[in-house]
Amino acid sequence: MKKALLLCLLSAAACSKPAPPEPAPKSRLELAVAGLPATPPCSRVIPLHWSPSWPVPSREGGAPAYRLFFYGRDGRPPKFVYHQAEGDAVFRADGTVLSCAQRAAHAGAVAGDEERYAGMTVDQIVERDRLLYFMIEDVAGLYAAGKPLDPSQKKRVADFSSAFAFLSLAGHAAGYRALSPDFWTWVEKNGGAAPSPSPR
Amino acid sequence: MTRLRRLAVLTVLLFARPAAARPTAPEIVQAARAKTVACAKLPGLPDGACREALQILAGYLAELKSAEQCLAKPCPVGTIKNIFYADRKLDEAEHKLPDAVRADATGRPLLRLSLLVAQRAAAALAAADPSAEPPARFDPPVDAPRAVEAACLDVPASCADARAALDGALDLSRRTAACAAKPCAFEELDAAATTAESAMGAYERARDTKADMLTIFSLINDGETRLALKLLNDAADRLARLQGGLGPLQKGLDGLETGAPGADAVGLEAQVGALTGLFREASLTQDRANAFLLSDSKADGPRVKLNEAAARLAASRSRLLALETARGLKGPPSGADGVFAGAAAGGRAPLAAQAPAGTAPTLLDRRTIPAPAPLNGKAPPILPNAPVALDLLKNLASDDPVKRADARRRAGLSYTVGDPSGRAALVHGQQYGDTCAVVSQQEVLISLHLLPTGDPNKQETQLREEARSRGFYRQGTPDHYTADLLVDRGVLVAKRSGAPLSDLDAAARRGGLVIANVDARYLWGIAAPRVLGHAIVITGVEVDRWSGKTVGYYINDSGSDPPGHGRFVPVETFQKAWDNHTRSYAEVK
Repeated sequence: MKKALLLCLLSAAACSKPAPPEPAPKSRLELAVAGLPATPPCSRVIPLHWSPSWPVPSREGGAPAYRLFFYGRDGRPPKFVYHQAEGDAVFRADGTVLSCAQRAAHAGAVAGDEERYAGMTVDQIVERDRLLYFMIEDVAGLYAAGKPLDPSQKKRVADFSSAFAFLSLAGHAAGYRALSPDFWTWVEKNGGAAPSPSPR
Repeated sequence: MTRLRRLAVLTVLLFARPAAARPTAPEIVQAARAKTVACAKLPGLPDGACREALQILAGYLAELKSAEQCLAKPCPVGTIKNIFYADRKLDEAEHKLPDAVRADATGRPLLRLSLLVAQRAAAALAAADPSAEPPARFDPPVDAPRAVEAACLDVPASCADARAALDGALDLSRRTAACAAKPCAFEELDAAATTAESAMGAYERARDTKADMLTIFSLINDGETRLALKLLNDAADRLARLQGGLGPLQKGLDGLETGAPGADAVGLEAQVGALTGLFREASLTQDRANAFLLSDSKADGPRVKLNEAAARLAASRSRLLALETARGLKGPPSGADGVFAGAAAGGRAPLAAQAPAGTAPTLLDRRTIPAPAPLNGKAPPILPNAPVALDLLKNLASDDPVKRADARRRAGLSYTVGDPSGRAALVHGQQYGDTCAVVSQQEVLISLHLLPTGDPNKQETQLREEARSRGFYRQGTPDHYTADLLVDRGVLVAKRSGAPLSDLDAAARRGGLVIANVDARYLWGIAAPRVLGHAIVITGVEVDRWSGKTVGYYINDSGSDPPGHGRFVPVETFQKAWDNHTRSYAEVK
C-alpha cells in the first residue's frame, strides 16, 4: 500500500488524469441501426455477428423509412472476406422495425477493402460513420419532401454520396442500389452518384 | 461399329438433357395419369378413394383441354375465369384425398397438372384481355402444397426446402392442436417450437423461388401464433411456480442455518434442483414465445422477473452449499468458478458423488458451490514485458490506457475481480465465421464442468449442430436465443439487451462469466466502415483501488488472431465497443 501511495504521489498526473473529450452524440438513426439486431422481428432471425449495411432512405407506403441489409464475414482479423447481403430490414428512424428476414442464401463473397482506410484509427472511422448517419438523415428529409432542390441542397446530396462511397464496401454497390432504386435515381438527378463497384 | 455408334448417340441423347429440367406438359399429364391408375393397387384405402382420384384427374384434363382451346381460339374472359374456378374446386377435392393416393416420391402429380391448367388458362386470359387478372385465391391449407409443387417445377434446387417448410408447418399445426386439446408437457411444447423454427428456416431458404410461397409462410405463421399464446401462458405459469418456490426455499435455508428440527439439506438440494428445472423451462418457453410473438425478449417484464428469479435462486444455491460446507457435508470450494476440486486438501467428493442413496441425480447444472469472486484474483499480464522502473513511472501518466492500467496494476493501485488467468484456457480460436456466441457458451460449459474434456473444435461443431437442431441458431445466434444452450442445460443465466455499461459492469464485478456482444472493430483495431458484431466472454475486471472505478475488462476472445486469452481491454475502449452494438449480455449466475 505504501508503495502504491508513493508511486501515486510521485506521479500526481496519473491520479488526476484529465477526462477524455466527450464523443459526438449519435444520431437517432445510428442508435436505431445499432439496436436493430436486438429488436423484433430482427432479434429472431438476424445473427448478432452480422454487420448492418448503411441504411438507405426509402418510402414505405408513402411514409419515410430506411432499408438496409445484413451481411456476415469469414476469416480472422485483420483481413476478412465479407458476404453479400444475407438479410434485410425495413425500419423507421425511431427504431420501429417494419420487416426483417434472412435471405435464402447470400450471393457470394466481397473482398474487404480496408486498405482504403489505412492510417485511420477506429475512432476516426467511427467519427466519419457518425457524420454519415447525420448526412443520411438529412438527405432522407430532402428525399421525403419530394421538392426540387436548390444548389446548396444539391451540394449536400453530392457530399452525402461521396461520403457514402468512401464508407461502404465497393463489392456491396449492387446491393445498395437494389435496396432503394428510386432513392438512387433521385440522388443521381440531384448531383450525387449511386454506389459503384469501383471505389472512388 | 454401327451398334456402338447408335449406343453412343443414344447415350448422348439420354444425358444431353439437364437432369433437373422442368417436365414437359405431356410428362406432367402422364405422371398424373400413372399415379391415379396405380391407385387401384394400393392396399387399405377408404372406399371410393380411387374413384374420386379418377374423377379429379378427368376434371383437370377437361379443364386443360378447355384452356388449350381458349388459347388456340380466344374465349370470353368469363369462360376462362370459370376454368380457374373449376381448377380450384378440383384442388380442394385433391386436398381431401388420402396421402397414398395423391402423393409419391416426386410430389403430388395431380397438383402439377393443376399448375399446368392454371398456366394455360393464364396464357389464354392474357390473349383474351391483357388487362384481365386471374381470380385471386388464398386458402393456405389447399394452396400451400400447390406452391410447393410450383417451387419444385420452377427451381428444383429449392424443392426439398419448400417441402420441408410445408411438412414442418403441417407438423406444427398437428402439435399445436394436440396441445390445445390437452395440457402438454414442456418437452412437447418445446418440440413444437423447434419444429416451428425449422419450418421457418426451410421457408427462408426456399422463398426466393419464383413460386408464391406466401401460403406456406401463412401456415407457419398461423401455427406459431397459436403456439406462442400457449407458450406464453405456460411460461407465466412456470415463472409463478418458480417465484412461489423461492420463499419456502429461503425458509428451509433459514431452518438449516439455525439447526431447526426437520431441516434437511438433501431435501433442500432437491428443491434447488426442481426450481432450476423450472427456471430452465420458463426461460426457454419465454424466449420461444417472444420470438414467435415478436416481442422484446430481453427488455420485457417476464424476462426481468426471470433475471431476478435466477439471481435469487443462485444466491440460495450458494447459501445452501456454504451451509453444507460449514457443516462438513461438503468440501471447501476451490478451482475456477467454484467447482469442487474433490478430495484435494481434505475436501469431500463433489456433491453428485456423495449424494445419499435413493436421491435421484438431476441432469441439470450440478455445480456444488459458486465461489465468491476472488478479489485480486490472478490475471494475465496486461503488457507482456515488465517495464523498467522509470518506464513504470512514465506509464502511470501515459495517455495510452493499456500502459497506464499495466503500470497501475504493477504499482498495486488496482485489483482484479474474477479469475482471468484461471479462465484464460477456456477459449480456443473459433473455426467458423458464425460461432462466436457458440464458443462463448462452450467456454461457460467447460468452466462449469458441463462438457467433458475433449477436442474444443469438435465440441464447437457439436454445439453448433445442437444449437441448430434446437432452433437457437440460424447462420449464427440471434438475440432471442442468446445463451440458450446454457439455459437448456440448467445453467442460471440473466439476460439483458439495450443495457448501459454500468449494468454490464455490475454483472462482471459479481465475478461470474459474462457473455457480451460488442463491436469488435475496437477490440481488433480494425478501421472497417461497418460494425463487426461479435460475442466475447468477460472473465475479470480490473478495479481502481482509490476511486473504485473500473479500469478495464479481461476478455476471452475466440475471434481474434491469436485468440484472446484473458486479454485486457481498457474501459474507454470497451465502452465504445459496447455502445456501438446491441448492448446485450448474458450473465452466468
